[in-house]
Amino acid sequence: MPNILLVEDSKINVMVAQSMLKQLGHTIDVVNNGVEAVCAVQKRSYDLVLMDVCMPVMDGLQATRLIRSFEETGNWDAAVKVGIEQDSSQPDDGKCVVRECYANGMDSFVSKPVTFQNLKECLEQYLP
Amino acid sequence: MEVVQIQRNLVDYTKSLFMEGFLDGQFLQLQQLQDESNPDFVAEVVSLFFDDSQKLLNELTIALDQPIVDFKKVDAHVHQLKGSSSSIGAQKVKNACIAFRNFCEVQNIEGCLTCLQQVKLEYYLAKNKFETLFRLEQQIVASGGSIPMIEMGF
Repeated sequence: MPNILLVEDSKINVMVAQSMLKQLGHTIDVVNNGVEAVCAVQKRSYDLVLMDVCMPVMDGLQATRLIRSFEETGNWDAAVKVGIEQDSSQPDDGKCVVRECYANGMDSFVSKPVTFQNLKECLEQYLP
Repeated sequence: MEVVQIQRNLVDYTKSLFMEGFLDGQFLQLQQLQDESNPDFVAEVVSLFFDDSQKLLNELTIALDQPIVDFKKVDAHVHQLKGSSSSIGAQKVKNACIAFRNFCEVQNIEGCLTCLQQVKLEYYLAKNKFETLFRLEQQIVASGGSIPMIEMGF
């Protein structure tokens, strides 16, 4: 069974995503900010990290950068990182969330609100 | 009233909430997550949303009442409210948040205050609608019936 980590500060979004992933056959670990995500990835090997972007304490972009740097220089196994955030439809104002996610080391992006279909496609792509 | 009639009332009421823009397709996603192992899922998530939202609205009221408004902080709260409302399909609340964020970005205090009132209004309207919805569901269950699923083809 693949190990999935959900990094999300909103209890509502955790409830929804967790239930969707359960219906798709997965139990997951949950942490609530970027610092907890870095600690979690240090303790356990994950196949997939679903990382919310906007979080308190440490946001998802910074957490991903940190985790990537440890993966490249340390002994951590590389997990697929998928950014999840409200879709920014601002085109080229430098604040495009999708572009920032990729620039900070994420492999993919799922737009909020998260749906069954989006999650299913993500899992099929990265956890075949 | 017969359970069949209450079920019809529930279907019609739910459809009206979609037609009037209170709900969007994300609500149907939530309904799909409700099953025998999780029979109160929708009510639990919606209840959590309203508790959370009330706190956020209180924080926003305080933040916008400061002599020097921290628009980043205000925007962060609105962002959170927009996210959670969109996660449960509360479309009008979500849309009110979108307008709110635009005023945060340009640091327009008057616009923000107007938007806060609008978000509060949409929040109370949505709360009222959901309470009616859950009351109908409870009547159906109390009468021994099952909650009908809403088809998207309407």
